[in-house]
Amino acid sequence: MSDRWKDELKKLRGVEPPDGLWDRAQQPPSADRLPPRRERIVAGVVAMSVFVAAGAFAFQALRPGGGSTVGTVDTKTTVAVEFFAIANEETPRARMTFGGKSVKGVGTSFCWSFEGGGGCADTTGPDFRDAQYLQIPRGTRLVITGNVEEVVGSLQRGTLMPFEIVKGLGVIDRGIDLDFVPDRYVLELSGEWPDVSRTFYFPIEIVENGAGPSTGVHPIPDVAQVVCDVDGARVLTPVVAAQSDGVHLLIDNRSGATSYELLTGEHGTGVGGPLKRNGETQSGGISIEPGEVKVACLPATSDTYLGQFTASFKIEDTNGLWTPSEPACDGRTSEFSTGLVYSVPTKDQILGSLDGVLESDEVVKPGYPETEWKVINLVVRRDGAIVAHVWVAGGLHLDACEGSGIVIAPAADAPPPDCATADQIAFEHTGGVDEPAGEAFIRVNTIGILPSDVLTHTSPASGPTGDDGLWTVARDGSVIAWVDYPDLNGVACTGSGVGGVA
Amino acid sequence: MMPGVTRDERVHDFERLFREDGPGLWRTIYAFTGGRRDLAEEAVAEAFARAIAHAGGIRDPLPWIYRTAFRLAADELRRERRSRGQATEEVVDAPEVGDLMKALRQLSPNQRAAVVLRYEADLPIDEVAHRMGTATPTVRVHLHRARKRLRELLKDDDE
Repeated sequence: MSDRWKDELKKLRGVEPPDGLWDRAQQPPSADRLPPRRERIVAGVVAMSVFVAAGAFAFQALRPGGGSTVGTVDTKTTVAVEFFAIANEETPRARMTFGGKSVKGVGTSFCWSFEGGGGCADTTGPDFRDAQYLQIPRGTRLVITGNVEEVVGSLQRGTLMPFEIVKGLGVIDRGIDLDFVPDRYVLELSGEWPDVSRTFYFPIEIVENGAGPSTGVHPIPDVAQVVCDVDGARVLTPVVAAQSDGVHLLIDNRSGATSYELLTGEHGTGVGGPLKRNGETQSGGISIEPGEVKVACLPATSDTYLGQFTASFKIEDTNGLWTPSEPACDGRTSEFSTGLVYSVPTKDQILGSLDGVLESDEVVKPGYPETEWKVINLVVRRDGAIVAHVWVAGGLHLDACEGSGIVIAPAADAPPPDCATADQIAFEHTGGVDEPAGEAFIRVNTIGILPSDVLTHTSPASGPTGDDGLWTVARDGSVIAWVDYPDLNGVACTGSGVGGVA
Repeated sequence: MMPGVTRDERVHDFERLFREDGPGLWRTIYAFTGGRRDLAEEAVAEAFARAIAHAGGIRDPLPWIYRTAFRLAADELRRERRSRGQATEEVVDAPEVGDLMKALRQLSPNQRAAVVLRYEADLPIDEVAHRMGTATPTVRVHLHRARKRLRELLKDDDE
């Protein structure tokens, strides 16, 4: 708005309402329309007339559509919205048709211009509390037909005005793809004709493909969609397909929840994370096993989960992506060893720490193929069944089926550093190396080793020079570090400075 | 009637509401009707009268009164249009706003209302929508079209 027009508009402030307006306002109200000028009658039916008007919008029955096409639009696959305003007919109208069903738009703000003047017919706001929602699969195309010049739209939510604005859709020229998160919405479409404008509201429910009228695309959604509202968690996708990196989740938080939790089975895996307040939180690559998953929206991270799991969905793994980590046997042995010196061991290093793994065994990561693990984690599959699970967390853990023969190899042939486990810190070599071999190689390339420190090769001679394996670093008679040759990774006592361990 | 609230207290509240917001409402409806003082007067008085009569059921009186006044004025304009040909009260603009009202009459009523509420009353768009009983995107469209038409009218492109 230009300053000039703003200044012009401010002049309106100089126009005063008539005297006695308040006195007249205190008289009893009239009927639903303005009384004859300068008269006012008692009208006790005002409220009733308003309710009748509102009630007319409360029931928006879906009716069978007149056919499978509207103009040239195939309404089996496309949503058609017809807008019509006929010359000399004062009521523009709009109708939405899809999948053999048709619903009239609830119109408000019906305005027109004529001869330099104009008028406007407002109604009570739409009431969708008892409305029947037109189900439309996500991504379905909506096209505008009829003699309307321009249509502007917005996606809203709620049952009574004012609705919550979800998204402005702008000017809809040829059409728009209804690619919205499955939920119930109010679609506001404002039509503009040369002399008339009118806004219409349509109650629609976006459903995942496959849940509504079939389009033959994506029978199972890729993303689990959950709404957190005052009643807790609500699931919009009863079934979701597992992806190669895990399960994808989209949570629309409309409550005060601060975190979510997923739970499989009665005593199954719990996976959770923080939630954005009043917004959407997207999580990808969740490693949670296929099957039924309970969902909770938690008002505070410290709250108990009991009673919070109000909804569930099912993870379908039709492509067999999931590899369980639990050995498939009743009798198991569990072992733990701190003998592995690598903080981030490779697959071969882990296997080198185990005895009993057969060449025919398959060693793979558990979970989904592209799951990103923070913990080194492998399973041994023999004849299609998981027989061992091995992972690194403060040492080497092994769960193996009895009879599989898989055990942790005998403890490394060197004593652990002479400091408490809690004071032992793994280090890795970074940067380049200089090339003298054996002990000199370790001394030159590992920071923190003093000239007075004593290095001892404790592993059996192996490798090209016989120096491969573990070396201890002793200072003042105590072992303060292990170093692996030639990788130069190791474990050192806190404060020794070996490997940069301060 | 709301518990603990006497009719006198409610009337007193509405009197204060009228004192503070009545003139602004009247000017908005005056613009909305294209300068029809008579319609603005009747619509505003009637809207307040209905609000007072139904105070116990109104949570937020001011937007309610605005929407009621808009609806009453619009109904009356429509009724007059149906009986076009009958004599209606001649519009005589106040001299200080003659040019403005002439321009505003080239807009649709909703565009006029949106412009006045936004730029004369300095209300934020969501409040304009609340008082007009419509959504904020719709108000933005009304304002966009109104600005466009006003620019065309006076070739005023110094926005």
